[in-house]
Amino acid sequence: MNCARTFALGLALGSLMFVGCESSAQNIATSDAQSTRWSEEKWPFPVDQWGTGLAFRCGADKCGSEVYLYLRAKIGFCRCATGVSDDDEIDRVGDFELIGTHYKPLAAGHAVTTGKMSGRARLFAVERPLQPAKTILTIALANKCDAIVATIAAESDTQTVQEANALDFLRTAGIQQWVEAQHSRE
Amino acid sequence: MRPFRFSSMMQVGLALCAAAFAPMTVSSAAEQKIGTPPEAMNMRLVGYDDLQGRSAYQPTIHHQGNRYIAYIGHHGGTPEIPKPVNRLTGQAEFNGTSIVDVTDPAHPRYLAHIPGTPGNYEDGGAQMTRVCDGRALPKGDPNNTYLLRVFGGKGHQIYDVTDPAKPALIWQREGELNDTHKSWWECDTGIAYLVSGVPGWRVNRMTEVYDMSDPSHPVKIRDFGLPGQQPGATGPVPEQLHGMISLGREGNRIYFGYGTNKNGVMQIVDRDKLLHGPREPTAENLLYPEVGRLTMTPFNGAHTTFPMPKMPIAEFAKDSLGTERDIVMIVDEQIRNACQEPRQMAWFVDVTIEAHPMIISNFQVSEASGDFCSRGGRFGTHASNESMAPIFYKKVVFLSYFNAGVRAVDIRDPYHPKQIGYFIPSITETTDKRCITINGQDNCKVAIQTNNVETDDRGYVYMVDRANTGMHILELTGDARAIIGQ
Repeated sequence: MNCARTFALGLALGSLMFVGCESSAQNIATSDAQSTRWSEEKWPFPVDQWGTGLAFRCGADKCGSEVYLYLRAKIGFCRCATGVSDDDEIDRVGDFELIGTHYKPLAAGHAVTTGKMSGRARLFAVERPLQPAKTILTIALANKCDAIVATIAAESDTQTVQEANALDFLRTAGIQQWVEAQHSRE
Repeated sequence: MRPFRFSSMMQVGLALCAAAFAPMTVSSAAEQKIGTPPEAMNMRLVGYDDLQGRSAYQPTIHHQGNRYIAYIGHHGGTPEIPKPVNRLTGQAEFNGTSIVDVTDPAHPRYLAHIPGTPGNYEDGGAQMTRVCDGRALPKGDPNNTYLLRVFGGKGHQIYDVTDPAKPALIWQREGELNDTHKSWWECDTGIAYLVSGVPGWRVNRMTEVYDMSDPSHPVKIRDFGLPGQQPGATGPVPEQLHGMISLGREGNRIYFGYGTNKNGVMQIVDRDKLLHGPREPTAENLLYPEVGRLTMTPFNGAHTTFPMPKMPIAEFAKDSLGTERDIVMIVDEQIRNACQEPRQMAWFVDVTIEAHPMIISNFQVSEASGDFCSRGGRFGTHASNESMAPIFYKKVVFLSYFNAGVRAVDIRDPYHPKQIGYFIPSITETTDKRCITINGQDNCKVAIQTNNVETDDRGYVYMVDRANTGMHILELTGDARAIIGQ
């Protein structure tokens, strides 16, 4: 590629970036607000075959109750053609094993979207040894052939309020960039 | 605890703008260059075909009459070239199945291409091939030859390939599946184990057992999988199937591999119980045919499960018991580029006492021997040859090793497998790039991605490339060749 074409391409890309910047500027306030509600924590679980993910906490002052969100990418684990489009698929790709060994759904799931990704959300009760069962909300999204799984544990009102908080957070630019960086390329 | 902050879009934009004005940098660490000769030890290139630049998966080499024909399954295309041109017809066709005459391995002749389904990479294509002669099948036309293949991830097909240059579709499974993959066809009985994704099952890949003794009229026998995968089950879902290899009626064992690159499980199944036991997919019925199971570390998968029963172990010759062992080689698949996941390799399992299989050894290529994590693309195992022709069986196996090419391994002592040869082909102008994302930027390199390998009963080795480089036909040389008595 000669210099002139490189310059032109760069200018085009730069313009695209500024356009992208400008259109995203409208969302920066929302994105920044969402981002600052959550603080990153050390991944608290032992390593398994999916590696470590990202752990976040939102305090009661910002989210109404203390909420933890554990985010992982399960590379190549999603149905490429249909994504997370039914309850069978969210049951299969969910990250329940982080919390406990046995789980059961508490209600039917429903469709959700976060920007370019779509998937499902569903409430589960997960049994834990020597402790009461824990209610968790699973949000599973399809990124091409990868499953992006968020496991949300909260003290109260996980289904509605915390689902909205979690989805807003998953829509932020930073999370979307992280998801793209995890994508398994051919 | 620190607040979670990202770089602003402005900062990201400026970084990308800067990158746009800079030439794409390519790391020079051990990266292949066009024109560089292949890297080889005890293996020699005999012949080559570019497979029309299509990404290749399963090759099956069939001794068909007085000819040798290679049937090669393909992955889907690329965003840049979703439908390569079939030079024989001049038409752009979605990747499907290449048919190549390799009777003279030094001068392979491309005979035909059967298009597959639309889609790129893992979507689309027609990855899998198995071939049987009609005279071997109980109810086949003795004058015909048949190709069983997948049709993308949607279904299965059988072609009459009696004239391999003019394949003709004779059967297609009705209804759509969620996925397909590495099926197995017993030519002497006609029983086929199809990797399928039957709607309602909790996994994308499980087993459909078919009677294909009459290829024009296959009859389904049953569905099969691990308990917990069947419709209506609850709780954790066991890892999905990758493929299976059967020892047929005489061996009465089928070795199923679950988990491609993680959560590996090898399941040993009594073939007679599978075919004649209760068929309703309850947990109890699914467990009935199982005689042994090896659960691997979740870091590794069971992509290929290649059985080698009754291997004589020279070291044990003076022992009163256990002088012969039943061995299964498990090969994992590396699926991420640039070593971004746990290393996948080959394992050797003693299944002599089937209820208690045990890993006795493993084989892997040293990363430092070629700086492979930096070469681009995947580094690690994918699959092995699956031919049981006596020339190589229980003596030498060939492993496809992505950017480390093909590896020849002496397994006569399965407790101490050792490399005896390798071949890493040169890249060409057609070789596709492989990329990872670092700090939001693409980092791409061009490297061989040896995807699969097969052998024929003459001793030739056929390696095919996932990155569109084509098919290389090899033979062993030197000390390695002496092992097979040539």
